[in-house]
Amino acid sequence: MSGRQAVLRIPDVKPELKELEIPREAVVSGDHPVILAMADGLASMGISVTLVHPFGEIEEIVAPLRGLMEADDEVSRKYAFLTEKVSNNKSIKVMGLSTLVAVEGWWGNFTAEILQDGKLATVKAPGLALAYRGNPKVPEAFSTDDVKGFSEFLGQFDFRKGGMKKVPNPVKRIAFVLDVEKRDEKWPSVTALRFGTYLKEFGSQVYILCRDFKVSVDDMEREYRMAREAGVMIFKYEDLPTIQKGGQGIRLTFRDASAVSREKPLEVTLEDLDAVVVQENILPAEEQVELLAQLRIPSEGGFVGPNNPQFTGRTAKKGVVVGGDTWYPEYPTDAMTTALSASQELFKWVGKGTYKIDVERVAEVDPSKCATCLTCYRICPHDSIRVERYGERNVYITAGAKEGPTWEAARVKVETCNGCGLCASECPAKAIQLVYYPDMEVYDFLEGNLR
Amino acid sequence: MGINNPKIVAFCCEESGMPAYEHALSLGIELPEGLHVMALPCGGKAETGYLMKALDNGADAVMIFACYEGNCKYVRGNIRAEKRVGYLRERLEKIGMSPDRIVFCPVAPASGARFAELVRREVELLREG
Ligand code: SF4
Ligand code: SF4
Repeated sequence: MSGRQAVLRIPDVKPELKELEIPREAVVSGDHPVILAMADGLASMGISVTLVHPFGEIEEIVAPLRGLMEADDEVSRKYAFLTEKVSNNKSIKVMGLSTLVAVEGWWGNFTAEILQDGKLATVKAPGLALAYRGNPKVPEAFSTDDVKGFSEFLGQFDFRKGGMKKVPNPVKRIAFVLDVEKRDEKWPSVTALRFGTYLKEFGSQVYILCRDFKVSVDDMEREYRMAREAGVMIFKYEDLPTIQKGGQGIRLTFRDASAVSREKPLEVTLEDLDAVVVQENILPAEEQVELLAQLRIPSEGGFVGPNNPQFTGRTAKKGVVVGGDTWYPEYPTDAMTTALSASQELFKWVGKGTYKIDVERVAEVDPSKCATCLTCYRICPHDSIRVERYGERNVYITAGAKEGPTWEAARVKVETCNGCGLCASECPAKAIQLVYYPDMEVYDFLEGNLR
Repeated sequence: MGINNPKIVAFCCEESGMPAYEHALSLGIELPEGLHVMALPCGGKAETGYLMKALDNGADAVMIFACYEGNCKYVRGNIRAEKRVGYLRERLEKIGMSPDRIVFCPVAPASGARFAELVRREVELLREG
């Protein structure tokens, strides 16, 4: 089908393939129990695994066993079985009392620096699977003793199993405050609605305060209506509510800015609340912050979840996958499923032995123009461009090499570049071009068709 | 003063804008002849130079069709593009041109109808002047 419009398509260049050998090896690291599932999953697919964990004994990895929610007996048995399987597997090398502190290199050739018992060791690995525990933290802006995070609050009820029905209702008046941080997260909206409607059945008074209600989830319009019909009250605020200790509980004061009262915002006070619940951040342990930043894994909201819209467990960096704590309460079985799909994703990168990559569909730097400003390095979503010493077209020359032309300039790592062109469009020196789609094609089309 | 048959350059992300354009064609929706469609690997590749060059070469408006937030194959290409467009719109206003000559339009790959609607609205805007 073609229209009458002038169209410029992306050139259909013949791929220039380069064959790479990628050894079938991986480093699995972290302090979350699912590293066991990852190590076992990879080993069963024929990958040699180095399992790096901070504990003295391998059994300690699963104690205490929890995602953001407690595990039941069946799950504990599953994990105990995994622990035994991993410690008996010859193709898994276990390094205890160890932490992964830094990672250099790219897919196919990472160097993992591991601190073991005070000594630094390096392990070469083509791929990495990481899974950390996160620490729930109520956002600074709204943190008082009275405010609870979703996971802490929901942890009291086993509401997926209808556990509420057996206990007397402990919350008579509850307020969910959404959007304390201005992140677009739909989970809290959905949970507040569902759990709020559920609590109404037990005679609770439920309030939801938000900046903007997110109903862009399947079936959400209907659930929203049901919640309203059940008597869940929804308010819109612009400035964060103030929180005080009141007579018999917590008091929230705010200006309601919903459509009915937009002209004349209404001062609203909610008295005697016995619970105020907000979306907490899931933060990595301090030792991990730097490593995660280096690997471009966003960590402010948990390690898996909305950070990876395309695929659970995938990161922006080829050859690195993640599992572990999410930003929403999760059962340990779910965490295990996520970790297994993450290890399958890693298998794609390290499982086949040899790979053909297209060295045409990449960006290329003209080193004579590069001002070594590091803009491209900061922009690249795949960490595929660095400023280094470099020789001819995308050929790296080690420091000290004298032969041939050498420059201090940015260099594209063709094995991991996805050819998106983000670096090219931001480079202030116009030093970067897409090999398969140079700027001239665009300019020629504009000249030839518009004038 | 309005323009009757405006020339519009549409920079289309290969993942969303291009499929949306083709979807519009497959639905048999009439698109204006003055529309010039250019595919890019990512909305984020619509660099300042391209946009300005399009205006310089006589385009009445430039539209960037990219993915919705959170859907970018390259993580944040669409956000970069949107920021860039925001900046250029400010610049246009400063030099006394209408900021509506550069617009950022998030589309889903299978939203040919929305693609056509956005183009139609832009044409109308330019006609009214
Ligand atoms: S953005 Fe351009 S000038 Fe800056 S380091 Fe990268 S290639 Fe060099
Ligand atoms: S083209 Fe994209 S993936 Fe390749 S180096 Fe540039 S920003 Fe990174």
